[in-house]
Amino acid sequence: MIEINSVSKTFNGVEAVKNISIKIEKSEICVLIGPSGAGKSTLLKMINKMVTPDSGQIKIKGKSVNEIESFKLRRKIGYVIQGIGLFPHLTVMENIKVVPGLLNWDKKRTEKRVYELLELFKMEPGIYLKKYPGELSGGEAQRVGVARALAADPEILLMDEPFASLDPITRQKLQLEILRVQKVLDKTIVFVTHDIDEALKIASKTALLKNGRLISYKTPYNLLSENDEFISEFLGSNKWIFKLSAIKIKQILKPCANVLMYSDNVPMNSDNDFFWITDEKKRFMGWIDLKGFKNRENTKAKNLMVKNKSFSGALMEDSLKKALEIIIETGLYKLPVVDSSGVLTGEVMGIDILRIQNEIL
Amino acid sequence: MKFCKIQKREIILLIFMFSVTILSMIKYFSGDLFHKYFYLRTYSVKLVFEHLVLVVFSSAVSGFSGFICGVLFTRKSFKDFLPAVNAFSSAAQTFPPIAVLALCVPVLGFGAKPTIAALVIYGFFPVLRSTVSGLESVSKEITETAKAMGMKKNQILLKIEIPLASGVIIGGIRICAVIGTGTAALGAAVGAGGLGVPVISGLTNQNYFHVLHGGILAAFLAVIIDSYLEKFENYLKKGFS
Repeated sequence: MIEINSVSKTFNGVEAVKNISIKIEKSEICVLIGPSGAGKSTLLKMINKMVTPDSGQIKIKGKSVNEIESFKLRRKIGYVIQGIGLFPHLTVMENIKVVPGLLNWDKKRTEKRVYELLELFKMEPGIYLKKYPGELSGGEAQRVGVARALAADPEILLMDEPFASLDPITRQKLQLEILRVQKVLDKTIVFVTHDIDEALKIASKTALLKNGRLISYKTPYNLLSENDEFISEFLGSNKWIFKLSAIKIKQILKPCANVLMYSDNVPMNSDNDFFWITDEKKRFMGWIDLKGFKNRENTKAKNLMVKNKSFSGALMEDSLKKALEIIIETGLYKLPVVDSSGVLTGEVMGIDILRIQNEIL
Repeated sequence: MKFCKIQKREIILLIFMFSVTILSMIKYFSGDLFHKYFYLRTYSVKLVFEHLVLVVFSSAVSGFSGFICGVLFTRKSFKDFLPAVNAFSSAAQTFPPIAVLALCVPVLGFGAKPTIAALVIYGFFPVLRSTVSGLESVSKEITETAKAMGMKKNQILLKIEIPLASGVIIGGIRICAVIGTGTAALGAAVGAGGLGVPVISGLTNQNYFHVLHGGILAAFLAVIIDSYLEKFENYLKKGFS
């Protein structure tokens, strides 16, 4: 999709980007990561010609960006920056309409798109459309920022530290939302950040940069396995934690061994002590641990079910780090894993996570 | 309840219109009878109208030209001149208006022309400065974003920069109009008419009632123009503070 061929750029005698080549495939989330001054933003801005490289070239879909007029190119690439970046004198509606307006979309199509996007980000159009950016919270403003970048349905989305100024909770929410949106819309995303946690959470490929040079370009997991001094330094001493956060639950998912519907009877003479309980639509409800019950009477599962209101199962997209946290929190030795609609799809054994952690160490 | 919504500026406007009407009626019905206390050689309505013409015309010209120059000097190709322009406009504003007027008379003769010229020159710089500072205050982040979204230079200017700077720009035009209202009174000295006429006449005849007649009306007019432009300024600023 995007081919960066040995580009370099010098600003006032300082080499910001030195001979970097990266190939970004379609539907990938490529995260450019590195300390400040590493040239991440410069590299990103070359893709939409906000910065012109001194040498080398960039191709999008096999076509050199130099052959496309700057403003036409930029209208086809979504762009989200740190902080607000929303136009303060325009309402949410008008902000999202900017690029479709530049592309002369007709009114009906534009408005339909605005509603679609707000729904995608779970924002009530009736509440938000007429608001000005000054009236939004940081998280809301950033959602609108992403929605605006997606307005004209670009294939590529560039994000320059979009969540850097948000609080940790909002940031995590938005990271998950980006993953969800990416899955729904199937965009190619180039994402700049200096937060390694963020990178590991959302990246399908990470490009680690240092002083304008590309140190490595790998999947997050492989990046962590590398024995480079700078990588170890950049990750700090918590390398194994990062490694766990680079592995998704779905990679070690096992099918559930024992599942009961809540209206089923608890089996009398089973070797198993532990059952997951689901409702009739196979959605996760709770669990039964029969270890304490010597006398297994013929009871309904729902009477013995343990329920934790704040816990509705781990998600497939969650990392092993998150799984470990949940295990500690709930005291379970294995975790139920659900899909986005709450249907129980499998389980993760705590012992498997520990085994992986040992491999890393 | 509706009465509560009438603002201070409406009350001032009503008082002003009422007093101008009364003064004009005194002139109409009594001729020169009360000339000792009021300036009755001309209708006050006419004086106010002459004054307004001077102010509106000159403010429009200096507002427009100051705005255009302000936009020009913040464009990339003319940006090198900006420090020089800033320095020059600061220096120009220290020049007293009466001197500007005095310099215009030899060139343009007596009457409204030199007065308007002086007002235009004098009002030009506040507008220029406010346009420049308004446009400069638009954060680079925002113009960069606009550019990255695929706006062309003129689109960024018209859709982003000018709307965002409009509050500050109107502020400059407001200053220009208020200074103009005061300064226009000096125009009477060179035969431009307006509310300066009773002031000058009162000063030469040592009749301070006449001075007050012109002075109070001119002050009222300045307050009214200022408050209505302020309303407009707030209207433009509303929504994006």
